[in-house]
Amino acid sequence: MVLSLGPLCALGGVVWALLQPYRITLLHPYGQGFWWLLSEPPIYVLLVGLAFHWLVAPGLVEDLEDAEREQAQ
Amino acid sequence: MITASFMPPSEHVHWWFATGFLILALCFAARAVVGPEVWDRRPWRRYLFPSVLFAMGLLMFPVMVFFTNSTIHMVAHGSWAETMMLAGGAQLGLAAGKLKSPLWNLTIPLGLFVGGVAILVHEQNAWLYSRAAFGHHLLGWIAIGGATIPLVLTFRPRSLVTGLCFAALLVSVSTVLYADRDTAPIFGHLSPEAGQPHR
Repeated sequence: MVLSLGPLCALGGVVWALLQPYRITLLHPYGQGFWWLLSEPPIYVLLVGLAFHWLVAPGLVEDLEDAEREQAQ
Repeated sequence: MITASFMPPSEHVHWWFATGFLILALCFAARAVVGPEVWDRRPWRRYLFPSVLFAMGLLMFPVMVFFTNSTIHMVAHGSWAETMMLAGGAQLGLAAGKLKSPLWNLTIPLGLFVGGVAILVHEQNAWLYSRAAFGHHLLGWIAIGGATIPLVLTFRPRSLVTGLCFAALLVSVSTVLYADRDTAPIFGHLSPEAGQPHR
């Protein structure tokens, strides 16, 4: 379940981008200002999910396995 | 006028805070699944969500200064800044072992309740005035009702269901903030006084 949290979040971002592509101004960048090109909410969701999956989840699973091993001994 | 042209639209600020709440939601969901003992095994992870919460409170102060246009608006943003910093600071103290009593966890439901009341009080328009007004009313009631979840979590910190409910609460806060637009209709309604919708 811990390993699925990040991908689930990232999938949410992808689904959102498909449902509301106009929220990603990078797809239609002409005439957009700096802030509108920086603010891409579906991409934020995608990045949060990927960051969690790559940076937090692996260590957490490792520690969970260690705790279970210690408990079994 | 020059400063204003460098400032992001207020809806973008809502989206950035929504991202902060999403990070908190993932942390709390994972913590609920593995349990606080396993989550706290690595010091950096122990400090992760308290730091995010504290930073969100700190960043709310510039929002209070630059993005508010009335006293009540400013007081509301100030109360969110203070309660988020209080909750984040208390969590940092607990993580560092400087604070011992688990009752410091009550700062989270306190922050949600005060934040919810401030959201409802500072929103002057009715639910269907615009999407922003709807979002404020919805968010206010989510925060007030949702404050019971971290309240329960304070006394049952190892409850998987309560932990996941809290993560779901944070996802709902994040979703409403992501849905915010400066001037946009809600369910087809937009007051003519709200102005021209952006998109």
